Amino acid sequence: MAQGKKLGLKERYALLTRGLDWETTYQPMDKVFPYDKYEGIRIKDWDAWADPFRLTMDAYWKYQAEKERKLYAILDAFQQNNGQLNISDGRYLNAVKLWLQGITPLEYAAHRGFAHVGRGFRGAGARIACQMQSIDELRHAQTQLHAFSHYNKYFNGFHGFAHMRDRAWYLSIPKSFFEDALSAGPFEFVTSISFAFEYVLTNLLFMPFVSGAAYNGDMATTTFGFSAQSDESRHMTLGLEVVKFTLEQHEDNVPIVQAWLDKWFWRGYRLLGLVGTMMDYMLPKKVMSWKEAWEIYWEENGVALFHDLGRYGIRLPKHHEVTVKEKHRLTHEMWPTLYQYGNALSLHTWVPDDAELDWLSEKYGELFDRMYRPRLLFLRELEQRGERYYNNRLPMVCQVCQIPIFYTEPDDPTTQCVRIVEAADTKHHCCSDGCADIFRREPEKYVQALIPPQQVYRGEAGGARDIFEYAKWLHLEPGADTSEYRGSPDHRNWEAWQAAHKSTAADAA
Amino acid sequence: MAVKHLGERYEFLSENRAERYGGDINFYIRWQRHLLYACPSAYRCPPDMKLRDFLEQMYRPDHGAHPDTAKLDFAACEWWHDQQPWHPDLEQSLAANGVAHMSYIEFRSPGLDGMHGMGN
Amino acid sequence: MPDKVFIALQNIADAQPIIAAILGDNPAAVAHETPGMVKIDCPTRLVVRRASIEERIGRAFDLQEIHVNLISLGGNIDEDDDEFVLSWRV
Repeated sequence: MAQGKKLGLKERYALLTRGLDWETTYQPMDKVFPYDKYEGIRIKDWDAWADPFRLTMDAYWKYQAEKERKLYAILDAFQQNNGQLNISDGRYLNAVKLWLQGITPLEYAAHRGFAHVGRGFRGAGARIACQMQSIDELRHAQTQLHAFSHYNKYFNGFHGFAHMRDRAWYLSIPKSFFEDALSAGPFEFVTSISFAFEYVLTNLLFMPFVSGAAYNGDMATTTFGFSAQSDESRHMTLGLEVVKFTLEQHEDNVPIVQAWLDKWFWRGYRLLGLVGTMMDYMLPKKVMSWKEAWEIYWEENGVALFHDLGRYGIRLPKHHEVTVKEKHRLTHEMWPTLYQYGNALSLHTWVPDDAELDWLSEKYGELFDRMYRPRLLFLRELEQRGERYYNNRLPMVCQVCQIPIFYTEPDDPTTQCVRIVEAADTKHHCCSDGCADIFRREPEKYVQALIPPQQVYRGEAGGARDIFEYAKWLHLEPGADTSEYRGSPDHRNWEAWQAAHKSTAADAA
Repeated sequence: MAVKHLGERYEFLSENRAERYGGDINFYIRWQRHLLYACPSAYRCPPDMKLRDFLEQMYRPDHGAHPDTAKLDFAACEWWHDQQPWHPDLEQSLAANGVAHMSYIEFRSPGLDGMHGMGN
Repeated sequence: MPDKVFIALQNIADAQPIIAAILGDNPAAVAHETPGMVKIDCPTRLVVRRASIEERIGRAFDLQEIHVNLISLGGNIDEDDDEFVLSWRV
């Protein structure tokens, strides 16, 4: 047999992945694919779909297997060598608790969502990309659970994530985000998750959490994070490809996609406030400020992306200028909010020490020093008087993003921003013009939202009548899983382990 | 603008509608320029509760951590209801004052302007 | 100022030949190191060349191996056996 010329990557990829689907004859295509037209997106030619990464299944398995081998080897080493003792400080684990509770369930939801759309698109290239992503997302949920399970042996607050997912007030924030996407059609789903979340905003989720983990000695999370991130690169490019493909296929698609970008940029931004707050307040060793991260990953990288899409008639998302105004104060408003509702959180909160306050001053400047530093010092004063501040009254919550309404007016940091929106003969409340716009565009969706404080007041939270009964319903142990870090079992254990660790080292020396 | 949907109808009542509160109302209240309280607070009360009773028996005890609260004189405050100026009669009931399910009340306390000159 | 593309890689021994190849082939590229990660920014266009990596790594290299160490990227992708290109169309 004569040796033929080796096929290039593009040709190989085309031969291995094209022409494997067919036009159905026993049932009409519209019945076989009932979901991909109702959103109004018009596709003239699915063959124009260009896979961003030309990754065939054999290459996929090979590289994923290699990453898995490395990951689990590191997790094993971490566990065997008591890696939990090498983190910067016991407070750091609260960032990991936030991840386990807030992000890991979203990975699982993404797995389900991509499995669904992986059946829903009539284009085979899109279906394959979504199916691979569904496997990736399940892998992320699994690897996170493996990485974090080690911490569950030593620290409180980890045990209840599955039970809490459908019950805890602050977890309705990520949950409602994803359910809004899951209950949409396939094009909106991929635009919202692959593009808006995983391309535009993912760097603001993974980079801070994973760099934060590296900086704070958490090898397990760092390794998981970087192992997942290369999957994210494929997901990002799927998102960008879906958006470009949709915009190129028909001009009718442009306003539909623009409306989705407006909605999902804003929803993703609101969700990321939790990550920003983690960066500024929960990491004992700081990587960068939320303000800096937003400047790099949105104002530079994100805006560059939207400039590229300008050729299709896409403009920057609505209210993007508000995110720039808020970058100076978002985290300083959110942390005291979490702090005061701490009796119902499955993670600890605390007032930053002086070195941390100085870092915040350096990063945030004058407004921090006039407004937020004195607020935090007052909280410290109350704690030192033995009157550690808790607000045990339930808050007003935004009907769309489901975050308690602590955000202030974009041009006035002394006044909370409340927008009243009416639908189905009932008044609802939103935290911003961004969320109010989303509500008004699809009120039938958001009137259905399950708002945790309102569920409590209607007796739907296991009959809990106050925040303490509510925490019990969440399976939280007061003071151990919840509330103030200082004096908690996590804190006392950490001090004891560090002392033992040092004395063992001293003996050995 | 309606939700794009499969099937004939996509209409829902609000989960938060008044009938689901057993005759009580849920309403919100915010003390302006007192950002120690991060968010407006939600309360579920019977609509025939006297406004002053609500303020003294529920609101004031919930807000004891702030140095201004002990000096707070509700009769001297300026009020808003659903972001419009409002002149409540503290001796009348919530309902008689027009406080209904999902009302949003705000008040400002002249001379008690929060901490640090910044409304904390 | 032109919009930047970027690529971020794990800052570990295995990835150093890739990082060096990228910086060598893209004179306008700037590397920023944060814990565990190197983020390389470049105005408008960045190319990753298989040949440049092979020179440094001392063995045959399949460009798709980049998936093992890749963290994130920004830009439109064009990929074949020899080059992986990130670009914004301006």
